[in-house]
Amino acid sequence: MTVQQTRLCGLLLREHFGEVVEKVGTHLLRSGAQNLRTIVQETNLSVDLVKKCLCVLVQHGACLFTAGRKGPGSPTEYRACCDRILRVLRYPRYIYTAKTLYGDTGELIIEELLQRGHMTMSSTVKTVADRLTQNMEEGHSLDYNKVSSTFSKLVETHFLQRCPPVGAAGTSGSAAPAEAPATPAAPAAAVSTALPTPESFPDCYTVPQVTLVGRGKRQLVPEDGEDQRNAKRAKMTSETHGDEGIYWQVNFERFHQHFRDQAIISAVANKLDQTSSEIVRTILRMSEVTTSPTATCTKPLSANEIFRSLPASYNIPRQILDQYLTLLVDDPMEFVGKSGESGGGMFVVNLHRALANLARATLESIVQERFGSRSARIFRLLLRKRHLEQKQVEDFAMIPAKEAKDMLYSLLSHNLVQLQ
Amino acid sequence: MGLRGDKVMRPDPQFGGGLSNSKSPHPDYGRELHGESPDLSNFTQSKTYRRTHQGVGEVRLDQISSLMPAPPSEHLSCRNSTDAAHTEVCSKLNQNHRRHMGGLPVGGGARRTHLKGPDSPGLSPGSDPVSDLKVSAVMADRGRGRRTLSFSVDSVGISRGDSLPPAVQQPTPVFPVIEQKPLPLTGGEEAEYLTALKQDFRGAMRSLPCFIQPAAVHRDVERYSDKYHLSEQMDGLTDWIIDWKRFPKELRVRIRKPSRDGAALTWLGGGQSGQMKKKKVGEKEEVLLKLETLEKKEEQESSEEEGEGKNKQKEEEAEAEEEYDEEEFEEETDYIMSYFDNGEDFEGDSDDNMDEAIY
Repeated sequence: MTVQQTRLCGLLLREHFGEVVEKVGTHLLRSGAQNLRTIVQETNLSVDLVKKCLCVLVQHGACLFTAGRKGPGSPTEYRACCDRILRVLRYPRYIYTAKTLYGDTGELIIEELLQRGHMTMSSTVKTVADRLTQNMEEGHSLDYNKVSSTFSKLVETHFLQRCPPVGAAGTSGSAAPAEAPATPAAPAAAVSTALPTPESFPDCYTVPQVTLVGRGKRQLVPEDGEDQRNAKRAKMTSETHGDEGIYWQVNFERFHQHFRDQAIISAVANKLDQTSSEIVRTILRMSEVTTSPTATCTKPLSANEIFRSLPASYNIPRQILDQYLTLLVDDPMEFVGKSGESGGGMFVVNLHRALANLARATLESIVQERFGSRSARIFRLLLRKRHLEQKQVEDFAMIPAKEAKDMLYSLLSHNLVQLQ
Repeated sequence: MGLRGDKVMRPDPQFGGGLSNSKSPHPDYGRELHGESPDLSNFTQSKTYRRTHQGVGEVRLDQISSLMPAPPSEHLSCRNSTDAAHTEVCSKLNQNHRRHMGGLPVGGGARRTHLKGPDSPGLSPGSDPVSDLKVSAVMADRGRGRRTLSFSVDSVGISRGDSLPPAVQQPTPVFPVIEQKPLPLTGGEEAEYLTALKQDFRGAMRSLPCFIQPAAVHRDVERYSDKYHLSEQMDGLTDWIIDWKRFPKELRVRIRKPSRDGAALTWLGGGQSGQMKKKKVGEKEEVLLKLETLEKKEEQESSEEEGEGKNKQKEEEAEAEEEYDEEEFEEETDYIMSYFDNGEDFEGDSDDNMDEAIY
């Protein structure tokens, strides 16, 4: 982890949690795993302040605690995760994605969960309903059911997941969606019990049965001291809804998958046309559950299946679909590949290759914007051919020798090109 | 002090420059530079020195080093030496001279100003204040009377007809000139919404209990309004109910209600017993109810500290929550907290113009 990364993490912690947490967090990032006493000594803060900071960091998943290394008797050690803190930069994107997929309700659910780290379903639903009610007209309020159903939908599509139980601390126990395909969202599903197995967490995406009846409450402007005191008392009373101890968090990996899919689809739309992007979107949607996040390409789908699953608004005849598929396969960007002939042709989306091509296109456009199109031509040539001599560069790129030399040297001075 | 013997080299009038309005810092200084020849008695034994530095400036090394605040160690050490290190140092000095004469940045603009006037063109801030001071010590007061250079032109390598690089008037630009202008930022609704989301998120985080602020800064004088402002701060802190089962036991803390004298809110460790227990006359029943619910939550705790202090802590916790409710009773004020106004920003209306009636 580099110095700049640590610095960025420190600034993010400061913006979101204050300077004290920043101090503790950067200390942990720099020094690796440490126990409480060492942290207190080296940061010169009071014990209570350090404890509170660690609570905040653990609550938000930025810090993990494990039993000490020297055996069961040693104090717990805390370790900060740089990657997790850097995810904070993407929070607006996550919230915006939830808005596009699930509307304002989804947006607020994700926002609340990101702000608080972990929350139970009931408290999330209540808070979101209250917030939405605030923005509604006088006299209207939002029923809890609507929010609960959006919550369930989010869990169903794996955007939210349960926090792993504390016994599994130290391992990222939030994996294994494959073992527990999402259960139906209806609260009539079985009441779930958290199984403390460290590796797999089968109930990761199970919505608990929650008794949550009511509507969002509008926050009253305190008229006088009476109302204020009553409002405070209402908060203190604890209500149980049947899901105590089950905490939910945002599943970042799923959002990243979604971003990846969006990137591929929009690249296809830019390069070809809207219909081909819809076809690719259909293929990706159908392979959501069957493809693991790190797969090279999606599972093969036959043209028949694709045809059946196209959205209703795109009623293109079968032959046009075949033509589009052929066009996609022949495209040099290699987004879609053909893996067989059965069922009218088996098609896959080449995820890794598509992403690599997108990355290469980004680099080429950077060189083009910075140095000009002829330098970009040389750069593309070198990307394709790997090693070239000066003379060969001039010949292949069809640029006069003197200019080619200048361009090569300017690329070299910016470390885009290396001599061997 | 003035010693004779060796020739004084005159600076070439070509390199006059605007150094005429410099003042010498020391009454003897100018005299030594211009009246007398430099003292090379230390080097008389070094014939090699003289041969190699034939045309080299009358650098009175010992003189300069005594004038400088921080003499470079190599000079002190090489006073009597004739070896290559000394040659090197002297050549370094010459380089500085050359750079200086050529108008290139030498160094230490800040230090230089007290030796020269503020408006001396041809000099610009550089990197090496010590060498610059050396140079300026030599160059100061150059124009008084004679325009001489302390080194010979030939050895430096500048011939008569050569054009020098233009004098640098200002610091070099921070960023190189870009040939191609960059593309504009991708704006659009989405980007603006994302920016707005980011700012909203950060603002919201500040008001959450997760945002930990260090102890409030004490102002110079304790103010009457402090005890009202402090109760506002407590809002966020009591909101955050942590499920301690998910956290390691050693991180448990207890809330302590603020002390009456307006000191900053502090958190107690688990083992300390409450010092400020107050007996509540009404509402014992509520306290008992709360104790029961808290007991249920804490059933699984097994650490010794909590076992001993459990009851006390529960009372404290209940009290802390109670305190807050009661505070407004006890403050004996009819006004809502947020309406409290210090009166500091208040500027009295002038009652002078009573001509116009106020309706």
